[in-house]
Order: sequence, then structure tokens, then C-alpha cells
Amino acid sequence: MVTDGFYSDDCEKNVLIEKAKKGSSDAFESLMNNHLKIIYNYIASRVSNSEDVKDIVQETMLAVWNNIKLYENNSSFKTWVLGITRRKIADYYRTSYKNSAVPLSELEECLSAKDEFENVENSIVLESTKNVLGKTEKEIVFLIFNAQLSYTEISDLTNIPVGTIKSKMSTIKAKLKKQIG
Amino acid sequence: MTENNKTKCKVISEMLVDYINRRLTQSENSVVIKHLANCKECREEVALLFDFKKMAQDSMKEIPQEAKMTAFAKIPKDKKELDEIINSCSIFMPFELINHFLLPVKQTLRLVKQVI
Repeated sequence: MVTDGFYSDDCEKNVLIEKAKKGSSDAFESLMNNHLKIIYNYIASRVSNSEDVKDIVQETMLAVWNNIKLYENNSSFKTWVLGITRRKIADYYRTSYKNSAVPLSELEECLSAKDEFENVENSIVLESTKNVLGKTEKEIVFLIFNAQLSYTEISDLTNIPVGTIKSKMSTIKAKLKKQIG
Repeated sequence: MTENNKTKCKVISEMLVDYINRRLTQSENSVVIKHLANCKECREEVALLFDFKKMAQDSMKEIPQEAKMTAFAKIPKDKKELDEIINSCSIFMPFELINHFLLPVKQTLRLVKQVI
């Protein structure tokens, strides 16, 4: 059985998943409340406008609800949910890109910048390192230290090979060590 | 440090992230702990990783109340709840049904009112 590290009793989680699959919104909410903070912070680390973050959280919950029957217990539920979250963030950028004359890569950087908006809910980990780590490095840091995913899970989520993640992690450790001093 | 030790440290170093996140199997855990008992460099790396983890966890924000309240607004409520309304056979049933479907809208309007 794959464990998530969030539930002291994985049986409880599996019971909630089964109930949610059968259409119980109460069970679904109980299940997802355990992941809400991580999902929120993951989105907020990539999207700076708080209203957009709220919308993406809603869209993510709906997408998880609509697809929960497809979830199989042989993979980590948390990783599966974060995968959906990641796709919803990508959808948001695609929609923003279509409505904007700015190139997608620039738009992503612009929308992620903390000082662009007043009510930013940017919760990128290790605030002092935001000018030191690249976008992918920041995401890896979040997924390792906040979401507590394994290298394999991060690889499945981001499609970055495990070897590359390990290599990036070495670079990240060196940068963070230097930053902390 | 000998070449053999350097290789061992490289292997262990790649396991340390999973070690601090408690994602290793029992036997993998034992291997790491045994190595850490004899390797000061790896122990220092573990300490650093725990520091990073603590900083990362401390910098996580609590989900704002607004976001929490609206997170599940698009999820259809339990069929049981709807059945209870339908089966109540109250003369107010049509109004209860309408009220049930309008609830997410009302919640959103309440939030907008708070913000304004």
C-alpha cells in the first residue's frame, strides 16, 4: 500500500476515497481538507493574484471530484491530487496567455512575481531564496520539503527524470547552504 | 575519505531527502542510520536538510478563510441531503429545493459583501 504521510491511519483515507467514489461529498470534503493547505500553497507559489488562487483551488477540487473514480490505490493519492493541481495551474496560464499579447514564458514569470500585486498570497518556500533559485528549483523545493514527495513521485508529477531531479537537488542544496551561511 | 566511502556517501546523500521525509522502507532506513553513525559529513547534511525542511514548513501560509469557504462550492452536495428535502413533503418543499440550489450562490454573495 502506498502511504501519503498525512494519515496516521491509511485505512481511514481509503475508506473516505471509496465513499467519495460512490458520490459522498461529505467524505470528499473530509478527504480533501487534509490536502487543502498544500494545494493552496502550491498554487499560491505559482500564481500571485489571490482571487485567481481561490478560483484555481475551486477548479482543482472540482477536477479531483470529477475524476476520483479513476484514482487507483497503487499510486500516492497526494501525488495524484498534486498532478491535477499542476494541470489546473497550467490551464490558468494557457487561458491567461490566450487573452494576453505577452509570450507564455514571460507571462508565467510576470504572474509569479511577488511584488506585482497588492494582495499577493505568494507562499514560495524559503522567502530569502526566491532570488537564488530558478522556477523549477523552487518547485522541487516545495514538492520535497512542503509536499514531502519522493524523487520518484516528483518525477511522475513533473516529467523530469529522477536523475535530473537528484542533480538539481545537489545544486539546490549548495545554493541554500550558501544562502543560509 | 577513501573512494569507497565517497561512493557510499554519494549513495546515502541521495537517500537523505527521503530519509528526512520518512519515505524510506525499514531496511533502507537502517542502512542510512548505520552510515550516519559513522559519517560526520552526512550527519551535517542531514542537519542542514532538517533546517531547510523546517524553514519551508514555517513559510507555508494558512489557507485564508475565504478560500476555505469557497473551495468546495462547485461540488454537488450528497444525494442523501437532496432526498431528505424531497421526501420531507413539506409545503415549503419547492422553496427548500430552490434554497438548496441557491446556497452556493448565496455563500458567494455573502463573501463578496464582506469584501466590499
